[in-house]
Parts: sequence; C-alpha cells; structure tokens
Amino acid sequence: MKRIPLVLVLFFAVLISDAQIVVEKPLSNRITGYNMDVELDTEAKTVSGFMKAYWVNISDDIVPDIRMHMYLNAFRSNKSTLYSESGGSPGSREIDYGWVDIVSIYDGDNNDLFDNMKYIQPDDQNDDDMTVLQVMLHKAARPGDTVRLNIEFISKLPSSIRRTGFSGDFYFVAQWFPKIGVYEPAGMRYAKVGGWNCHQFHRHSEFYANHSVYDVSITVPDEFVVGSGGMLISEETLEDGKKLVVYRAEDIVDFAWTAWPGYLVAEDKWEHINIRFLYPPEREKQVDRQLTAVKNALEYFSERVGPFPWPHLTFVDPPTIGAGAGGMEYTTIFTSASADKIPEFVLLPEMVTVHEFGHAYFMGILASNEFEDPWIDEGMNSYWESRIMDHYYGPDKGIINHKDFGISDRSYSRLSYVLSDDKKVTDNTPFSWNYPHSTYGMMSYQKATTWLYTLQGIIGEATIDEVFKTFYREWGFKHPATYDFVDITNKVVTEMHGDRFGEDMNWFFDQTLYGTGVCDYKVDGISNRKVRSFKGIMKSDTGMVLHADTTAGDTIYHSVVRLQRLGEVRLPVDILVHFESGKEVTEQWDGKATYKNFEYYGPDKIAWAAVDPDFKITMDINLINNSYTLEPDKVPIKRFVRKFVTLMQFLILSVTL
Amino acid sequence: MKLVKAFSSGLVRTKHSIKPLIIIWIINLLAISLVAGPFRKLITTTVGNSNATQMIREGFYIDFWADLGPVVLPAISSLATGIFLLFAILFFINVFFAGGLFDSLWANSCRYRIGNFFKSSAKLFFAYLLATLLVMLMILFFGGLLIGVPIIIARASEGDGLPVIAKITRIIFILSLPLFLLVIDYARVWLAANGPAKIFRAIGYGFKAIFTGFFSSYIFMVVMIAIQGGFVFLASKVLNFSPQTGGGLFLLFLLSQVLFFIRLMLRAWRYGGVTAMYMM
Repeated sequence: MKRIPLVLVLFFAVLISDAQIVVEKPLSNRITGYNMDVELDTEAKTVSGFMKAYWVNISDDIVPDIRMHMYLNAFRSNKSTLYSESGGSPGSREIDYGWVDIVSIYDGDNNDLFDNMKYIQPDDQNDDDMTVLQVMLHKAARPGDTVRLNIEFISKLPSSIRRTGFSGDFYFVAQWFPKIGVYEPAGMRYAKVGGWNCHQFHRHSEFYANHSVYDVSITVPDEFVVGSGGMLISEETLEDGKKLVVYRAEDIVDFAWTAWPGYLVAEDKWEHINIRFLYPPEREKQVDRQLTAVKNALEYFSERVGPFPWPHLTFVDPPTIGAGAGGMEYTTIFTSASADKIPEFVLLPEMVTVHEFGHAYFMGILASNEFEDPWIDEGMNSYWESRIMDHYYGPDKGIINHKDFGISDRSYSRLSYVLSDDKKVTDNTPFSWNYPHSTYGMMSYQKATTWLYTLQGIIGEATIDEVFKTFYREWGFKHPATYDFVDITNKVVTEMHGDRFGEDMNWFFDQTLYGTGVCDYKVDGISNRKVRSFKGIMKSDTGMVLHADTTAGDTIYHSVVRLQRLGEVRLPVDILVHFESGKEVTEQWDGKATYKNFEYYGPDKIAWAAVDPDFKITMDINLINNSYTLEPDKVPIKRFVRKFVTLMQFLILSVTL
Repeated sequence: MKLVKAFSSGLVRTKHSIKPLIIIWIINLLAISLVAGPFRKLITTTVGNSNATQMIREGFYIDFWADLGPVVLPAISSLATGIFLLFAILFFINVFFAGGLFDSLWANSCRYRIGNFFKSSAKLFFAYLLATLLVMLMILFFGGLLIGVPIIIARASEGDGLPVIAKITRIIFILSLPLFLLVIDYARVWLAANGPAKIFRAIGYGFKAIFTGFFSSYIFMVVMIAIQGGFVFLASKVLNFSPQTGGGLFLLFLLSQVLFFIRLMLRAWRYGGVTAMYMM
C-alpha cells in the first residue's frame, strides 16, 4: 500500500479545519476536528444538536472502526465504571441521571452507521458501562484517509455535579459530546500494535484526546452568561428570548463550557492573552486574588516551561450551588474552587487556580494519557503548582500565609506522602484505576511532586527548568509517555553536566518513579576523642624506660561523624560538619552504603553535623534525624510549651464566666 | 456614687482575697503542668540531639511536627483529647473555687481563713456549677437566636436587606452579654449569702437585681469587661515576645504568671464589685 507522506496529510488536515482564527499557525497536527451546533434546554436539562467531526488516519494501518468517548453515560446508572469505582449513585430522581445518546450517525458518503454502533468496555469488561462507543465504518480507513461523521446527538446533564452537570440554573457542560479517541499506531507510546486508545470514564481520569479544532455554536436563554474554552466569534440575540454564541477553539484536547445567569465577569490581560473570569457576586472581593494568581502562573510557566500559545483564557469560580464543578481543567477554560468567605491568609483559591491553569501545560499542551500516566498529568502539575505558590506567596507560606504561621505548598505535598502509611505500596506507573489501597491521589500527585523536588535538589533548579523547556519543545502538542520524560531528563542532564551524575539519571528514576522504597538519611552521632601522645615503656641501651612523646600535644582530637541510610533509596547527599571554632566543612556522600563515617584529626572539636543541610532531598521521610548536635537547643520547645500553658490559663478564665 | 463605691469596695475585697487567689493560681498552673510537662518531655526526648529545633525557632514549621515520627504523632493526636479533658477539669476547678472566692469576697476580711475558702468551695460547688451551666445555655440560646437565625435566613433569601438585620442582632447580642454576666454574678453572690439550696431563685434574683439598679450595674460590668479586655490585649502583645535564650524564656514565663495573676485579680475585682452592689 502506498504511503501518503505525513506532510500532505497534515496539509490536508489544516485545510479541512478552515483558516487560522485563534492562533497564528497550527500548533498541532489537528487530526480531529468538530463543528457543532447545539442548544441548551433549561427545562429538560439537555444539550442537543448536530456535530460534524473528522478524523484523519495518519497511521500506516487500515482502521476498520472509530471509537468515541461517550462520557456522560457514566451518569446513566449506578453500575457504570465511574460509580462502581467511587460508590454512590447519580441520584434518586429521573432528572438526576445523565446520558448521551446518538440519534443518527452518517459517514461522509451518507452511509447510515447507526446499526454499526456498539458499546465496548476495554478496561474492565463492565457491561453496564456505556462510556466507550465503537462504530464500525462502512469502509475501513486506509492510511491518509479522512473519516467524516455527521452525528445528531442529545446529552442529558446529571444533577449532582461531578465535574459536569447542572445545579438549579447553573450549568457546567463538560465531557458532553461524542469525542473521538486516540488511534495509536505501533510504536506510539506503549502500543506494540496499532489500535485505539479510548478508555472508559473512570473515577480519577478522563483525559486523553487529540489536539483538535472546535467550531461550536450554542443557543441558550438570553439571560445566561456563557463562558467556554473557545474564543468568542459572535453573539447574536435570537427570537424567543434566546441568544446564539459562536466559539472557535484551536489545538485543544477538549471543549467545555458553562452557563449561569448569576455570573459576573472580570476581564484582564496578560501580555497577548485576554483573561476572562466568571464568578458569583458573593466573591467580588476575591477577584483580584484570582486574577493575580492566574497571571502569576502565566508568568512562571512562560518563563520556565514555555509560552501559553492561545490569546484567550477563561476561568470560572463556580457558585456554591455548583461547587462540584470546581477544580477542573479543560486547557483554555478551567474552574477554580473557593467559598463565599475565605480569609486572605488561606490561599486555597489561588492554589486551585494555579493548579488547574497548570493543566493547560500538563495534559493540554503536553497531552499525556491521564489514564495510563496519571503522574505526568497530576504529579508534574502539582510540582509546578507548589513552585509557583511558594515563589509568589513566600517560601514557607504557599498555602497558609498567616502572619504568625505558614504552610508551604511543598510541605503540603511532602507531608501527604511522608505521613501516608501506604507510601511503599506501589510505584508511579499503574493505570489510574489500578492504584492499590486508594493511593491514587497520594502517589500520582504528592509522591511525584516530592521526587520531582528531589530531582531538582540533585540536578539543580536551572537544569530541571531546562528539562521541562526541552520536554515542552519536543513533546508539546504531542502525546508524551513516562519514558519520554526520562529520556529528555537523561539528555539534558548529560548535556549540562556531562557524567557528573553518571551515565544517565536512570538510577534516580529506577528508585523513585519506578521504585517503591523510601529515603531516610540519619546522622547517627558525633564524637570527639582526644588523641593521646605516646607514653610507654621502651627498650633502650639502659634497659626498659618510660618514654613520652613530646612532639605531639594533648589537644589533638579524633572527631567522627557517623551517618546511616535507613531507607532503601540511595541518593547522593551533602554533609555539613560544623566545628566549635566556627569552621565548616561540606562533604559529599554517594549515599549508597548503609553507614558511613567521616573522620577528622585536629585541634577542633565537631559541634554539630547535618546531612542534606539545604533540604534538597525533599523525599527524605524524616528531617528530625538529619542532624546531630552536642548541645541541643531546647528553647524553641520550651517556648512552645510556655505559650501553651499561658494560652490555657487565659482561655479557661474566659469560659468560666 | 453607687458606682464609685462598687469599684472601690470591689478593689478592697480583692485585696482581702489575695490568699484564695494565690491558691487558684497554683492549682490552675499545676493542672496545666500535668499535661504540658509530659508533652514537653516527649518532644524533647524524641528530638534528642537533633538540631531540628532550629526549624521552629522562627515560628510554626509543619515539617518539624509531622516528622516527629510514629511515636509522637499519635501522642499529638491524643494531646487533642488531653487538652479537651484538661479544659473540662480546669472548668470544674474554677467553678469549684468560685464558691470559695465569692465567700471570701463576701466576708471582706483580711483574716479570712483558708479553711473557710475550701469549705465554701465544696458547699457551693454544685449550685455554682448548675447556675454557670444554665447561664451558659442562655448565652448559647440567645447567641443562636440573634446570630445564627439571621444568617440562616440571609442564606435562604436572595434579598440584601437581611444582612443589615443580622448586623443589628449581632450588636444586640454583644450588648446583652454584660447582662448575662451580671445575672450569674448576682446569682452567685446570692448563693454565697443564702446557701446553695435554691439555685433557680438565685438566678431569678440575678435578673431582678439587674433591673432594680440597671444603669449602675450595667455600666459597672461594661467598664470591668473593657478593663479586662484591654488587659488581655496588652498581655497578649507582651507575651507574644519570643526570647531566644533559656534565661529570657524563664523571665517571660515568670512575667506570664504575674500577668495571669493580675488577670485573676481583675476577675475578683468584678466579683467583689457585684458583691458590694448586692450589699448596698
């Protein structure tokens, strides 16, 4: 079979996706595209209409079918995979349930494909799950073919919002239309043979799709304020109190939108990006906080990872009735999470905003498979969220920024991992629904964040920034897998540091990303012993005489720092040795042996020693044992207890009237 | 004139009750030390020779507390229970000694015997406990009515008129707090004077006494609350100081105890003033 050059295919793909409107030139190969015309029925809680979609077969395979995400069907029953994994039910009333139904489906040659549809369950063989649809094509798609589909569909939104749905007259419409999966030819990511990668809707994951072009026309009641992941092309008032809003989005992996009459809108601009923020009136006072947070994230990501390429960005703070839609990400639209009254020192809204924005990079631009590599999506993003929060709000105040105390975002991630009893249960490679003992969140978010910080500590901030810049350049608008990140890291580290860290960094990833061990280094103790000058009986011409060496004084010490590796993970660490004179020596230890001594001879005694004094090894599970001193400072503990005593004394008088 | 006499007589009565106040201070300190002491020892032992305490030199550092390890973390969570129990015990102790304190304030004699203090504390304990709990319930009920209900209504309604009402009811509640303190203080004086048998009558007397001399009683209580509030504010500022040496910390501890004792005297001054007004 004659192979059609990829360039021609891409050229064709661009042609059929119409002219450039949003970005200057295509950012992705755009092998899928959607043109939709839908209407929101606020009585029936449905979104219905027509969709023209295309998919280009850029593989060398002959593909007999198309697979599509039908994710609203996760809310069709309490037996769907989503509810089987999470428990619970969509609700008790008919209106509570959600579903998506195809009314008619034709291919580009007007062949009726309705009878060729079949729901399949590639992940768990759960017959009650209808979130993946297989459509057998009238004619198999040959390499270079474009498959066109004309679909009439109706989507009923669920009532209890879990990522998507309605609450009263608030709507967050996500995962709402039949969306084409990703065809992976052999060699792409983990695929050994060509095939569709189209997973069911799971409790913890929902994203893996092609970068696509979306032209979406939405009819809604006139009083609704609408926001979407697209750029607003036109808005037109219709008869019967309705309006038509038309959006176009380019090179994004999903299209979501929201509508609610109660939204207020704040607009801002950061460099070339028009920012639109939708929020409930009760949170007027938080607008500046939210806009500042998103601009901080834009600045940090642009400087250290890569540019945000779209000229538009919409984000939403859902009202209390729609809180279930909070904390979700759809690249050019995302939702934050907050409450009507939240103190300024609690940086939860900022943290969620930074995190969800970050998914524009990790999952949006670097479109990894959230089902199979959840740590890339959530772990990398949480790592950058922590860096951003601690950078802009204070190194120890990224989450709680009170004048009397603070909690850093890095500490939050580290402690979620360190304090977990299940931190050795598995590594970072299971599919999202296969993490045992409910460790998905801790493993894919916090453990990954913690070891990424550790990697940063070892190779340096500049190097890890360069790793991510390269990752962005080489894998932006593609589908990277775990090993692609490892390869990029190895390449960049070798380029920047030669063999300073060895042949590659696999030794690190084998223990952290692919490993289950923990890291714990300890200073076991220090000792200072006087070296005695020689004094003893020696044979001489006159017989046995007492001899004393006067060349060496009695003020020489043999000082020892004793180190231990308590965990399985072996990482290079610095040791800081502080002598009584104030002199300090920094030693390096490869951290491989179970114990190590550093010994010194001289007139100076060791006062204290610390392993990893700069706290580079974030994944060290115990920082208390990282140092040892001969004169422990008890004042901070006494001060804490003193405060406790006084507080109790004064407090009790207040409540005893 | 009645007001001036209440302040001055209250002060004199407080001076005559120094010994009971010293006992109350010591018992409070000992009770708290029963929890604070072992807690300090536990942390000190766990930290051992580590330099990690440097992490909390400048303030709260969550990694330090979290890393104390599998032995201390459950102990810290038990501490929450311990603090609750300690709080309950301190509550009973202070209610217990309030009986003796009122008795000494009533006696108003520098020759007041410590034996009488303990005897009165025991005699009046259950009556004082019941009266205190009843007035606390009244405060909670009123608080719920004047603060909670308007908030619930405001949340259920979309209009913007109710938050103003909520603010007004909140102010009314704050203004009514001195009245509740007067009720419990007058009731306790009545019980000290007439014996512990008739608790509800004592509370009834508390209400009656407010309205027979409303302005003098109310102004007295507002002034006392202002003085105590101002003192607590100043004390919190002073005690917020963080000495870096053991010696400085010890001095601050002594200062904190002096301030706490003054706080006890201010409380006694309030009780003494109400006792004086009762006798007028």
